[in-house]
Amino acid sequence: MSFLSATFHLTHNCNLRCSYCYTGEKLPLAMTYETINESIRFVLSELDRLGLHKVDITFFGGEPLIEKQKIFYIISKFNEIANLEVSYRMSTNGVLITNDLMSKLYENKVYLSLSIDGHPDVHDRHRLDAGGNPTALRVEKAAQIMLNYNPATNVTCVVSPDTANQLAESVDYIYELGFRYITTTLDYSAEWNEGHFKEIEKSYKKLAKWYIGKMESNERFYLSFFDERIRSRTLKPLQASERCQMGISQFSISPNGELYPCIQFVKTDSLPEFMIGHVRTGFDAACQQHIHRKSEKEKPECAGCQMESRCSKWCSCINYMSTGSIEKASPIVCYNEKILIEIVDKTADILWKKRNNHFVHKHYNNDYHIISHFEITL
Amino acid sequence: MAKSPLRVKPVKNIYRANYPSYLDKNPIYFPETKPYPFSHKLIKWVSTSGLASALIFGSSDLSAQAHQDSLYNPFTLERSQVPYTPVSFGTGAPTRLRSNEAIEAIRRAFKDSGIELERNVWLDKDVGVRLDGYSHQRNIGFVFMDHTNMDQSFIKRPKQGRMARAMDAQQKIKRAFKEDLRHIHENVDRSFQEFLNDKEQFVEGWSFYNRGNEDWDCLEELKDLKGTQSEKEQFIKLFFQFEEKKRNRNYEIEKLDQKIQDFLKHIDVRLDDPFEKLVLLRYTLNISKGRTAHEQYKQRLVREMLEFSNLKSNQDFIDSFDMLMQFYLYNNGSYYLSQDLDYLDLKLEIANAYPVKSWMKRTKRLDQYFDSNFLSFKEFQKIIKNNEKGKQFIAPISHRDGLMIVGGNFYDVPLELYEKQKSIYQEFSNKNGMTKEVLDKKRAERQAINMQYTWKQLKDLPKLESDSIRQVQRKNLKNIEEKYKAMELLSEEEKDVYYAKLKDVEEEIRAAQKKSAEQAKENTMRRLENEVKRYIRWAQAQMGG
Repeated sequence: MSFLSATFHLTHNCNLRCSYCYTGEKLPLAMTYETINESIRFVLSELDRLGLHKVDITFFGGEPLIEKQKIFYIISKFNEIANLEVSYRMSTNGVLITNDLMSKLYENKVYLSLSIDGHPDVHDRHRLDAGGNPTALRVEKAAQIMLNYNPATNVTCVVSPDTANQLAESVDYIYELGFRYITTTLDYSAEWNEGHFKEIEKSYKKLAKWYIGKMESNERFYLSFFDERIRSRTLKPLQASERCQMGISQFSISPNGELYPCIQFVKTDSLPEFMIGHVRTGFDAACQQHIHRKSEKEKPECAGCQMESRCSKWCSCINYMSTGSIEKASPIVCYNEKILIEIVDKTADILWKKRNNHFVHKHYNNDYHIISHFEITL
Repeated sequence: MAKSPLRVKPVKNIYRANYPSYLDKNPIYFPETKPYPFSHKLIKWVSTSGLASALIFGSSDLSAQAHQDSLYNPFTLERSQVPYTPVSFGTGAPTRLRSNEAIEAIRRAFKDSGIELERNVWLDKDVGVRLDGYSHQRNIGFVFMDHTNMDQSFIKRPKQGRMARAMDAQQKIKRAFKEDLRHIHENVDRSFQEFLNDKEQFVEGWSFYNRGNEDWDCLEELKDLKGTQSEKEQFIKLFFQFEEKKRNRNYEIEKLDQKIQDFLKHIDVRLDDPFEKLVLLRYTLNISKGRTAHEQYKQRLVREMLEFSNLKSNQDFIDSFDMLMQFYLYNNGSYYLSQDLDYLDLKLEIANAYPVKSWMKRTKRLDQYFDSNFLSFKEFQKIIKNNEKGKQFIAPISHRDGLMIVGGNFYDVPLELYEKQKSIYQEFSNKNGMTKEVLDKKRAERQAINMQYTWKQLKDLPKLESDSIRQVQRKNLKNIEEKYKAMELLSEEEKDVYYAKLKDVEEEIRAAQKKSAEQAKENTMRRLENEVKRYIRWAQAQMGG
């Protein structure tokens, strides 16, 4: 463990009403300045306790930009601390982004991730505002502002059962907007069935062709669906302690100061079975260890699976979203990984067979991510 | 929380990936791995951002490194540009490498890649093909496809038109005497119809052939006809007389070998039907005067033909001639085979071994020769597929591939040379008094004379009158020339000095053109070489090399 990762959930409120949002009811319950100060004190005490000098602060919500002043307040507080390396991230729906705000965020080195599900038809299916209005065009405007400041801005794209057949087109749309870091994820809380997975399989195959085309054109990009699966083969599998440190070195602070192991557990209604402490009183060590142990338990339903070492069944949050328990492997993950890993491996084999130079460096050159990041931000 | 109706199912059989895993040696350290492929964005930034970054990165190396150098087979069906539509003219077509130049570049590529090729190898694995180069040891080679080894199946037959008819004619293995006879009948009928439609124009058409203004009675008699349907028989008679005149003049019959002349007379006397006569007369001249690379073969056919005069029955005479002609024209649809010495040797063997009436039944060896030296489009497709499947590595390189086009500045001449030429010419014109204004005036005067009587106006006048007008026009034009020549200021010796200078600069321009053409050709050969090397690297990777 070389750094701490703390997420500040600044508010439960949100200007959007995304159909798949797991954070619960959108109430105007924001983190008070008092809770913020206590949270900062808590984070610093944890750093001291663990002997660490590096922390990753993420701003979350609801929509964190509703409480934008608090973002800069927190940053200013951490900046006062000497000998502390702090990196800032934020996940936003982008609707509240303006040029001035972006300029200030950029100045304070806040790395943003924008939520876009795909081209407007797809995006507006699930991401409407509180008034029930589409948000795609506003988000597109925000995208341009964000990319102007940082071409390496990340996009998070959620794939739902009804949008699975347009995944490839959505990724291409996002790419054409100018984004080069694209994180894709399924809506694990949705009711997926085999028919949806047939559709998504077709989409993955289209995406495979897209991926090959971009690699052959020497384009720089990161597509999580593909690149992470390739890395699951090209990189040594992480040990449990290296993987998800949920509740240990990674935790979330709810608006009222409650501590949770991951963002997925922070909801408007408290989840006492997952609360691992409070910023005022610190971690409840017993609870922390209990949840950690449960999340690391072997999944007997996965015994004998040839894909076990590459599958993301270890993610407790996804398991919880999908099954209601962090101990059970998610069938959605299972179906998805089986389809995706095979398609990704075949895609990688095509590129390997051609000895595509870009492919070789992207997945086997340790310096690739630095150089490519530099190239993207030029 | 949502509950999924799906179930977790462990998978027992998975796709086994080939790309290196963390357990294998990192391919970054393989010797053949190329350097980091910097993006064009970065290269542009390096080359415009100043010395420091140039020192760090070395932009010229970067552009080489960034060149996308993936392994793939460059010789695909799409690249080959076949099947193709033939054109009957070439003035707009781009210049291409000659076949021998292309093959030289290809061989060089193999040699540089450390592969020694045997030449002219017959490979009979899966698809029988004659290869221009092949290495049995390395299981790799190439076939260069051009008009000398691509058969008719590479050509897209147009739906109609002259090209379609020519292709159909070539496809036909047998040319029947009956069909040639039918063509003559059609020709006569068509000519008579044209005569009826416009007698004047028709007569003029015949007159055109009589360029030497010889005494052709048939022409005068044609002019005397009224141009009515009832005159068909007379017309046909004159038609054949006209054909004879043309034939005598075009083939210089009086200069032919006496035996041939006698044989022509024999045909004329032997047969009554003028149509049959014409067909056989044409056959005779075709065989005896046709150009061939194999003199012995030609003489054998001529000897056989002359023997026909001993045949008693006219039908026999015609049938034998028919067989001879069919055999003569038989070339498996390839013009090149009709000049191929080995192919003609085989024909000679057949002619020497069998009676003429069975020659067309003995074409199997000719067909085999064709098959072993020519590629069909199906065979080419098979080679492509075998490459894709990794069964066989033969690069099918087509002469129609865009790689063969000699691109770039083919006649790149330094602008200074043209400027020099222009300046010498201007100086000469000015010193000679022939400035632009003077020359424009001269041109206008000439134009005025030409426009007095245009070709269109003259063609409708009687010949004597039009000739007379033309003479006057020519005289007036000559007067203008003399008038302006008298205005020139330089002496002949002085003009010669300028002519010499202009000639020198013209030589320089031609030398520059030649040099740039050579360079363009060399660049094209280099480009072809690189693509062949790319193919070799790809094939070796497929073979696990």
